Amino acid sequence: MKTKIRFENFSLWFGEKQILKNINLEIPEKNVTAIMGPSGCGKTTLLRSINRMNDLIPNVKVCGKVFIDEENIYSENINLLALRKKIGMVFQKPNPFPKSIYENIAFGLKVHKFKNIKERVIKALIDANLYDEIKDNLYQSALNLSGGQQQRLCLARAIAIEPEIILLDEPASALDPIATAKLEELIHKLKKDYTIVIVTHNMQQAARVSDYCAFMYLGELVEFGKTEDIFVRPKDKRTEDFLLGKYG
Amino acid sequence: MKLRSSFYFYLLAIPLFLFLFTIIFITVYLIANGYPVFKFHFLFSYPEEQMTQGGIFPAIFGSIYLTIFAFIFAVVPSLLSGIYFAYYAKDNLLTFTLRTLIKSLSGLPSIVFGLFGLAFFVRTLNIGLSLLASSLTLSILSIPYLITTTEEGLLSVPHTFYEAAIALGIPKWTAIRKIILPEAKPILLSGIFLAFARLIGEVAPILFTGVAFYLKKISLSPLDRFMALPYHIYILATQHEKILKVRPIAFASSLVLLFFALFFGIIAYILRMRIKKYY
Repeated sequence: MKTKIRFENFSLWFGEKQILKNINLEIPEKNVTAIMGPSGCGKTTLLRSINRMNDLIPNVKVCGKVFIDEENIYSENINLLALRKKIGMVFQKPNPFPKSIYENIAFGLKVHKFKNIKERVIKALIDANLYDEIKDNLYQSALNLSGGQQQRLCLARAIAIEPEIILLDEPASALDPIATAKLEELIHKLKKDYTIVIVTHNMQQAARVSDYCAFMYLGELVEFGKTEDIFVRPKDKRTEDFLLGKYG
Repeated sequence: MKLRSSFYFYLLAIPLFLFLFTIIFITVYLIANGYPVFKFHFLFSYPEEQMTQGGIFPAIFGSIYLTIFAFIFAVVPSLLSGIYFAYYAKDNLLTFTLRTLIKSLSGLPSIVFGLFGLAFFVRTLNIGLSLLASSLTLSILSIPYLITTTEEGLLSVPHTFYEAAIALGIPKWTAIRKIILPEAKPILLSGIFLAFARLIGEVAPILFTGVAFYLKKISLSPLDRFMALPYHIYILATQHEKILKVRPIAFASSLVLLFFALFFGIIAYILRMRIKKYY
């Protein structure tokens, strides 16, 4: 299995507070890797280190390396725009732009100078299992969609610009069970083309969608392995306690 | 319980009604006293017979022209500075100092701006007493306020939109220009109109920088002097030798000025109603 993303002795601080402690992790290509752990364990920060979204936070300090396709994305001469184009992201709360459904997807395409915008918009919507539901309302505001539809639109927006990696930050936390099921089905479909990393504090979800699983606790990566191994035979006591529901 | 809540109702409502009453009283008083001279002709003709007759056209024209120029000079720098503070400034001593200075500037009495305008624009830059010098002075007066409203307007757009754009690999400036600015537009415009509702009534900043007592003919050149409504009212009310004869004209002029301020204020209010609520 080829490694797509590799953390090497990676630590991160917000001001004085250390959020990530010496992370070493290899995320395989074209698989779903779930990062789980209790609230505040640093899993979202770990995810946002992959597309350097943590750079937006003042006073952030990093140490160590993160490689994507064997290129250190924390080196001086990295092109951040190209990096982020290569990595799509879906956030915890659906955040479509306050524009039409069409324009939500076309915007990124136009900025990145793609051609045949209309076809690409429709293809992205089909790939995100959303097209049939909204094909008559393509030019209506995205803010009128339901939460689940908005979240799939955000995914369509991300995949339209042809990324290689998709980061999902608790994408179902604001969704009802049916919308969640639809989203998980979509994740399952997309993994043959993309390397997917999903953060979740819901271990059933991690079990359902992921091939590999990382468990984090208080900024440390406690355990990483195949999902079935982690769930059936956790090696670490803390992982076992989490799976038994001992932390929130 | 009922007694107590009605007590608080009156405690809060009485000052409001007193305030409303004052405003209505002022307006009615102005209308009653200015009405005899307030005609179509009054708005579009020059003063006659040492201002005891005729209209106030040059003053109206001067005020509008002045406001347009002040707008041109104030809006672009305020907008850029507001964007800088909201999205580019680092959280350091320099930013803190700049912010503090801007806050203090917006509390400065307008006469100080007037003196600065005289010293800097009229004398040092040698622009002379002119509409240009006055409008530059007025723009400096409004810039601190406009910077603050721009920054607040931009920051009221949910950060999640900005994050979404950045995560798509969209350059920062494009994200601000295409996503944030269009969303903040009603707030920004409303702030601008409120600023000009105040600006059009200012006397002190134009007093030493170019406003004229009386002009035979209006000039389109910004390097010439000009007449302005608030200064015209000031003269008619306190400086004129036939003060009783010009009093109705002073009242009618005040009414026109009130109308302009109200007009800008209403536009600001309408724009404010269009501000979106996201959550």
